[in-house]
Amino acid sequence: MPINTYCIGNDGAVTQPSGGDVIKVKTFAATLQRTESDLTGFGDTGKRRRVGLLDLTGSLNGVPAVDTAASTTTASFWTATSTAALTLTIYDGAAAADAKIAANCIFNNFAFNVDKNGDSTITCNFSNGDGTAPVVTWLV
Amino acid sequence: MKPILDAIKTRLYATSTLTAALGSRIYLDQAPPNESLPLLVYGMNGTATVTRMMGGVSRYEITVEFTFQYANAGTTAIHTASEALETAFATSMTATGFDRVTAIKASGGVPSFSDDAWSMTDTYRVIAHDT
Repeated sequence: MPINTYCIGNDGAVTQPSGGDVIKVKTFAATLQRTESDLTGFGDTGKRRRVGLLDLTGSLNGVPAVDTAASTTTASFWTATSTAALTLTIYDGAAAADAKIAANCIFNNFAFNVDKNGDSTITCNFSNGDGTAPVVTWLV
Repeated sequence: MKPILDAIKTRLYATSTLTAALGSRIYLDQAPPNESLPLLVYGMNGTATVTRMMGGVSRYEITVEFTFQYANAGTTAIHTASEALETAFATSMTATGFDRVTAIKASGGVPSFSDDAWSMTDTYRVIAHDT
């Protein structure tokens, strides 16, 4: 199958931990990365590098949303210390096999910005947190 | 946008301090010709700003101008009506398809004389999100 379908930002979506859709996300930024080590040795005629474990870090930016009924699940999103499933969709999100990055993450650095004139935004950071590598699916 | 503008009208008509002064003379966009004074005309100024969020929710923000027209120069009635507007929007409104509608005063007008009447325009930011 040719790779000829292009992602548009509007395709993006975020699935937060179950019951924890307390941030209506406008944008997200995510980085898949491995620590890179230089193992170049004597006798090598070019650089030799190796990479470490796969990691996912990034941030969610959006608007905080509240429940119409009390929910300990959503309330604990702000204070939870355990990991929770996060799915970042880059393409479509309409089917199970879309282009996405999924990982069990910890959430931290919740930055609330509330303006009495009518603007309320929040930013938080996420990081892969359970010892398992993020799963990347790359299909239309 | 219509449910938002309808919600504003419903709220204005439900505010007794406004209707005591204006009766039912509260109009969207334009008042009828030769209408009695005082009256209030409100309408959107410019276009709506739509901010899309993931999950199929959008944030709508519009600027709404409220223009009071009074015949009685030198009285405080026009300011009284303006304050009644603030009272009307002290709490959020409900509108079909939106979680709620919130109006925030952005600017207060200064009375001026034109078209055989005193007029003053207050401006509000009106914000709503899809349900």
